[in-house]
Amino acid sequence: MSTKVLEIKDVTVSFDGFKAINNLNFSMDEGELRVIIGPNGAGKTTFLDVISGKTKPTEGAAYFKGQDLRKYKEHEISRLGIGRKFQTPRVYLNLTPRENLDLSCNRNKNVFSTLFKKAPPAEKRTVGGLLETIGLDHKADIPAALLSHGEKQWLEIGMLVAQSPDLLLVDEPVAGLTDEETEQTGKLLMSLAESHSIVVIEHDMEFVRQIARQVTVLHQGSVLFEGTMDQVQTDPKVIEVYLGKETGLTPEQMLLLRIAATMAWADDNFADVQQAVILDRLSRKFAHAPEEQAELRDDLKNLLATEIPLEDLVPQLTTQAQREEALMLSYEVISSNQINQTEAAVYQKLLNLLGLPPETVSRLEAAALEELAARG
Amino acid sequence: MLEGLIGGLFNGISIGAVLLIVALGLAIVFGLMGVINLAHGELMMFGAYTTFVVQNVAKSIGGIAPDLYIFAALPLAFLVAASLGLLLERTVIRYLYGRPLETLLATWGVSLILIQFIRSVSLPMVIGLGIFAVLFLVGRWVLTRYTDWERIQSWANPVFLGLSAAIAVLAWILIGNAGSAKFSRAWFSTRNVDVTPPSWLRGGITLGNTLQFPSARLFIIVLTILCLVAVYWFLNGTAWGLRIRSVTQNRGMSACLGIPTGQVDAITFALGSGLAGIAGCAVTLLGSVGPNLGANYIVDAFMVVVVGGVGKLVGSIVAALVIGITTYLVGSGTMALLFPPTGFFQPAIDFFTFFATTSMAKVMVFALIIAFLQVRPAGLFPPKGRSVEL
Amino acid sequence: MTTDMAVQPRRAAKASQKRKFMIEAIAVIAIALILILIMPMLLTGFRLNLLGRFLALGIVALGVDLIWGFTGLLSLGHGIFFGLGGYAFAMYLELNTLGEGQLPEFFGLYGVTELPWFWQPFNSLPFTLLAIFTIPAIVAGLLGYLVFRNRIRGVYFSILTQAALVVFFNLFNGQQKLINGTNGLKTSTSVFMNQQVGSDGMRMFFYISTVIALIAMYALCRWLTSGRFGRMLVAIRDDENRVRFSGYDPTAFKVLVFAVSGAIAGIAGALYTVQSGIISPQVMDIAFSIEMVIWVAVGGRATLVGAVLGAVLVNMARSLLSERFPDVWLFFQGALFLIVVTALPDGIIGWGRRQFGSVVSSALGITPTDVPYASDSDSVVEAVPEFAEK
Repeated sequence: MSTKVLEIKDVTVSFDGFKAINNLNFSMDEGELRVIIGPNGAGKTTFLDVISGKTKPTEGAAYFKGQDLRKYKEHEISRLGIGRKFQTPRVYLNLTPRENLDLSCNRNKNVFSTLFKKAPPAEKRTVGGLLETIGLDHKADIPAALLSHGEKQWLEIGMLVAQSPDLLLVDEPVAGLTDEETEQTGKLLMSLAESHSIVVIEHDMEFVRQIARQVTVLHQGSVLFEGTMDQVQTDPKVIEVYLGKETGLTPEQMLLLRIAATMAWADDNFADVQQAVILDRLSRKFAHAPEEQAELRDDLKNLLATEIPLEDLVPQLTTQAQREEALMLSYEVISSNQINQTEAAVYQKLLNLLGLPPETVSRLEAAALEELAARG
Repeated sequence: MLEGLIGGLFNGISIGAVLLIVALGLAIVFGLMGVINLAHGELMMFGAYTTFVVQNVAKSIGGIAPDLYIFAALPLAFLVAASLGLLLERTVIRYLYGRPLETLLATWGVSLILIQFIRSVSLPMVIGLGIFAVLFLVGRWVLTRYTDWERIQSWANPVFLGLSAAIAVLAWILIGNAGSAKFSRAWFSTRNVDVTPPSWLRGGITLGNTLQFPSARLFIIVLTILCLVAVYWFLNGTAWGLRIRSVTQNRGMSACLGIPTGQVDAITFALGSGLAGIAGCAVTLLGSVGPNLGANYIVDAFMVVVVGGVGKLVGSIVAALVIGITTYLVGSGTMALLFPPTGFFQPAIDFFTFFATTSMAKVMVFALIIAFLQVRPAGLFPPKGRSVEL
Repeated sequence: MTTDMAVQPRRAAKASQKRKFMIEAIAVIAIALILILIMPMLLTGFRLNLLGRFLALGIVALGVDLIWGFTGLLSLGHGIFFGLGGYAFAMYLELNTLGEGQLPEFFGLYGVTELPWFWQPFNSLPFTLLAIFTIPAIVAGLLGYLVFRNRIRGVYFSILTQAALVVFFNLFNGQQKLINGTNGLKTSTSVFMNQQVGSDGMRMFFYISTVIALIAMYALCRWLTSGRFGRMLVAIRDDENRVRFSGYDPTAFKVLVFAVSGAIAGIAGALYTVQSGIISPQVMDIAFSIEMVIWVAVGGRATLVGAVLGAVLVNMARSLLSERFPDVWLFFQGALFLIVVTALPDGIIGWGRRQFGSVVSSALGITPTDVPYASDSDSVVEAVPEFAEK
């Protein structure tokens, strides 16, 4: 009746009274690629544990294509079509990649058919193809213990695919990978998403941005927010959780910050000075200790890093005062270091979008320069 | 009926107390370090032999010494077993952390050596051991001082070990053959020896008509309680206890915080071994002492650890008491008496009579333990949380 | 284009594999022929009988290797299965020697006048031959199922198998009336196929049977450990939980392997019994079962040849040493445990492979396989929560 591939209803998991997952509700459509983020201890991995059967929910239930997962054991759940990749790569170290894949690929996994049947040619071909896909064909016959961390991650993803599951649960696939490997992993996941439903847990925001369409934010065992990456990034609740402070930022203020950040990113270079300006504005609103500011800077860098077209952002400004403030902040940001051509062009665009009268613009620009000068 | 119940309970608790005092050291070493020490029983045996020696010395002193020797024997047994444990940890076990199955085999090897040592220890052998220690340690010290030790380590270590061992064995045999028979006689031989308990531990307290509480058993119960309190205090009330607990919970983090994990391991292991020594001292009150003493207790003690669960003292306490009482009830045939002797219950009576010996009671208790593990695989007090089973 | 390049080395690998298989088959047959045809000419009857016993122990070692070397489960209870196989055969021999309606002699001593029910089927040779391996397999399977289904593994499994061993020892040792208790069953004077079991002709028959059984069991283990099933065993050893999330039920695999391993031990027990002339509860001694493990470790785990080699070598050393220096044997054995665990974790075969592997394989024209044996570091995760921290 429902096309939901995964549905989690009112699930609570408690360990000795500590609720790792608290009344969580979640659902996902067939073919969706969903990224789950959340600070440490938000219950992300426990969430996967519940789906894959490693932990049974204390209350509530998880459904896979309408089937209640509570009554199945791990291997039965896996046979239903749910594959899982662990946080740290877990492959069979004393077997070769080919053997690793072959074991996952095996269609009939009971004891006696494993004992008496040889691998059919079709499965051998699948394994061969997968080895190529994950780039391990030249290392197919050495023990997996000798592979690098990244190769092990890939091998485990390969093992996952070999199971040909309908739903893939992927826990931090790019932890400890180089930038290049991360990007390739992203591409791999994207291509897998064409034929599978995938849940990805990830910390690396850069990576999330690369692959995410729909993001779910977990916090203290419950869903805090669900939406697109852009919505997530402007949601004050999420920011609060991620920055770990009572920021009290209103959505409007966040919008201002985003516009400023977009200006700062205009030349693809978020210079320190520009950050300083944004931070300065922030810190005037909430007094931060220096180390807190340093932390904030990193978080902001992550948080504000996407370029959302100004065309989308500006119309969201509703009042005149907001427009004025946006202009002033943006001007401050770009003036804080040498204005180059790209920045100038973007600024011009902003001006057009804001549509403020020229005299207001020049008044605000002057005020902004004064601000900068005052700070030295 | 009431007297029977109290008597049964007392006997059960006293079996449980012996189990607990044996299992206590084991539980600490296993719970805190994940090490299965199969030589635990032999450390007990060393404690028992220490008691035997102390008793003999006390006898030769005379006076009130034979009545009070136990108070000297307890700390000495602790010290002997603890230092032996320390030696074991430093020389063998610390190279095997994270490999529990290998540790298990290695400690079994150690237990064999300890058994044979007690059987054949004699003056020539001790001299040989001394020669070995001096040769090996001094030789190594000289080498580390004057040569590039790092470079030659790989071959120099085994060569030196073999060389000093060979010289020592040669010395042992030569001295043994040269000296008189008395001189080279084995100290303890393979026969069991008897330790006479102090006179005040030989009697018992009688209550009512049939109730008898043997003093030795009461003493063991008190000793077990004291040990428990001491261990609890050590783990929860001292700086080293805090360190031990922190290493238990997160070894890596503790190391990063500057806790000397190596020392913590050594102390934990020495503590566990020392407790084995005390247990050995205690069991001398119950029977004779022989090289195979440890084997009688060790498997039961492991069952206590398995049933109790890892890392919680209270688990071991409850498990030891339950196993002790069950063993007594089944082994003494009390279970069979619970049924009215009519035809209908005859099969049940026959069934329990079949198990009504000490060794058959073990069969029953094991079956019960396996059944219990079907319900609580991780024991009475399992550790919980996401990180437990990975 | 790329597929061509990938196929080329695989074909070569396949050819090399085939060649390897041929070489191995020839070697095995050659060794079998040497054992059957040449050894009887070289050795006296007594020595040949000893060799036959050692080869029987080599069969158990195969079983232990299957469960420990490949699957990573350290069983300390293989004496149970060995004993069960031995007792099954011995019971048949007892009955076979007697005329119709007679009872084995010892029953008279305890006033038993009727053959106990479980002796009855052992009147039949086909049943006995079946029982020799099915009874151990069933016991192992049941014990394995009860333990594995609760995910009890690592040292817990080892301890529980050891406790089970003690239980079976008690069961056989305590039941004088049913199975002649401590004294065991003597087979040397029994009659098999109208000849005395202890006669020269029968000894030769059992020797040859042992060699054939050894080869058959080797082939069985070889078949089990190659192919998908064998890789599955290694996978379970490496990461049991991963296996689960890949859609396999490790419990079923482990139960099967444990049962097969038990069956192999049962066959070995029967063959050993008739060659040593007696079966007694002593084969269910704790020490004997741990020794089985060390045979495998000495030879090299996860190498089937190593298991057999280790069993034969260690037992030869034992008979040499304990004949001349009975005192030294335990020291030697203890040292063996320590050395193998700390210095020679891959055993003789592993060491030989490292030293001479490339030379030998290039001489034979095959590609060397060098699969490192990962120590079972992950099993500690379960025992000690601290290591489970990520």
